[in-house]
Amino acid sequence: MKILVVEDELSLQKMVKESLEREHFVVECASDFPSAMAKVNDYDYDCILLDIMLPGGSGLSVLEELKRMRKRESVIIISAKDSLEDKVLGLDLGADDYLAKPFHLAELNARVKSLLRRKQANGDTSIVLGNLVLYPDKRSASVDGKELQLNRKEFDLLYYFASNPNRLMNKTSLAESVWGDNIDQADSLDFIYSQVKNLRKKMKQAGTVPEVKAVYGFGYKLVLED
Amino acid sequence: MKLVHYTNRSLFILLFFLMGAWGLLFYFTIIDEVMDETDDTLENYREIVVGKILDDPEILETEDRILHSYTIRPLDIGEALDYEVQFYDSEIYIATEDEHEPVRVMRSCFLAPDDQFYELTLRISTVERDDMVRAIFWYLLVLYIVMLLCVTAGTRVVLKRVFVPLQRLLTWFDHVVPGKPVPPLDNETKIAEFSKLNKAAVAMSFRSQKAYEEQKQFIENASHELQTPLAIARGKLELLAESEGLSEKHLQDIDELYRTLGRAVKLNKSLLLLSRIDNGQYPDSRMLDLGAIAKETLCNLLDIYESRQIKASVEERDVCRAEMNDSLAHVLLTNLLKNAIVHNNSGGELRLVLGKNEMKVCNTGVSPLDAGKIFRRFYRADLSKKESTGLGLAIAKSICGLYGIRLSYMYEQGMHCFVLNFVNSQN
Repeated sequence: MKILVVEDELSLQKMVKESLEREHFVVECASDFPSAMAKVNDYDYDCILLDIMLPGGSGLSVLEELKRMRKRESVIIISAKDSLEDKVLGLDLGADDYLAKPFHLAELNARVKSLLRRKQANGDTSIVLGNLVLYPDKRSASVDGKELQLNRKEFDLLYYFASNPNRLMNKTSLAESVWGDNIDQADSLDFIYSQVKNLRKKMKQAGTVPEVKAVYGFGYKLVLED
Repeated sequence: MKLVHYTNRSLFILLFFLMGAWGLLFYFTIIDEVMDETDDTLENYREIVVGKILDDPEILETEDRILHSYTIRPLDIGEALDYEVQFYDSEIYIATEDEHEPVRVMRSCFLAPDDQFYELTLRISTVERDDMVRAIFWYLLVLYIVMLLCVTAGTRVVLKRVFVPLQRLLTWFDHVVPGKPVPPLDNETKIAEFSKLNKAAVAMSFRSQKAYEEQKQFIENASHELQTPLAIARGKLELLAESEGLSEKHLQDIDELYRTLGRAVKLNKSLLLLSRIDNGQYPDSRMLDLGAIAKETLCNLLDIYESRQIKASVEERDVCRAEMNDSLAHVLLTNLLKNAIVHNNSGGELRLVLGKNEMKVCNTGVSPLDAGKIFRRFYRADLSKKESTGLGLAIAKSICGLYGIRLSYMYEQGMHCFVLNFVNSQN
């Protein structure tokens, strides 16, 4: 799986690259408009993360070029300019998703993977982790073919864990990724604690192989045992 | 008090005394002159009478009995030696007309050719003089009043005309609103000071408008510029936490850093949202069923804050609709409802009342809040809530300001109530 990161801020570019590489993607980078254009012209990627404000031109022009060449890359726009017009314009031009800075890396992983699943699986967008299978479209999960009963919050939580297997995720980042900005940090701690507790209980009862583990006071990790 | 009235009144008071004093002075000078004139006439009269007597001493034996215009009386030598000429006003009885008439009297003495001193008393009627004095008095009084009225009315008219450009400038000032374009000022005037004032006012309005724009732009730019560094710092921490061989202590430190950074991110997002609202970057609005949005939001929030065990109730009196931007409507209602949950007692009550042009969100609270301060940016009623950005209600207020919705706070029956009134927003 090859991903192109178009981002002029080098630290951010490096950080995204590192994070995606941990998910075993092949990552290439471009830091300005000409090199981004050159890369999309010369190579094929599975997914492109595209910043809108680039030195030398707009990311939206890169997007137009892609569509002109009829390339099938999935594009996620990453923009600091979290404005509605940009979002609408980007999606109109054929971007698949829009992520405003600052984002959580876990969130980025989830979005990228969701797009790639959609693109490759030809309709089958399920996530398979050991004996656990998640069906994001139907918002359901099964263990060894038997349905795992989860409420809405628990499913959202499990979906995030499944999108970031073996990655350590912070409690607050988890809460915000799943429930948005509406949750205050102070409350999110108790909240995530009780939700994860319920989820773990259900997973244990169903006998799933992947296991949600608490990592000190920092957060949680979905561990896949081989 | 209006400038025209004030100036007019001052002028009136000044003229009232000034012209009054001048009129009195004039009157008394004239009177003095008239009196003098009478006395001069009496003295001339005496010269003539005494001259006649010296020519013809027989006159000494006569007396004017008809008009009593003179009487002659012999004097002792003693009386005559320290005799002084006297002038005084008196009255005499005129038998023919059977009335008293005012007269001016002069008493003097002279030495007749027979070496005898005589006292000559001369009288002259002052009826005409008094008539003249009366006429002068009345003419002066009328002149005084008419002049005072004319001057006052005249200055009033002139002042009103003079102050027209000022009046127009003041009306124009009422239309200058920060954040809105400066309206054109049509105020042609030949008066140099007003012309200068016009120019200064327009220039100053443009300057303050520019400063306002720049400040707004600055907040927005600053928030934008902060997004990327914040994203990097947060991402780096996420990656750092996954490094091998970190102790529990390290992870706890990273967690704390992460959460502190999270607060900065939230604050920045709120500031960005505020400046976007103020910059009018949410243009498209449509008719929304706010009641439905509120109920859905409340449901979601109660789900998230399940542990607080809030007893929520919804009272639907009517369909609550308003025309506004969809995402701003969500932000507004989320902020109000979230406040009602977060600043509630555990197990407290939350009441949502939906009316035709009104929405009310109430929650249990111990004591009233300071209504003058709660909508200010960065104001926190409860300082122990460090996690709060202090911008939630400020954002709500900004959104309401954008659509002409009235947002007010009241404390009733042990509950904090925030009321949205949409009456003005409909037109």
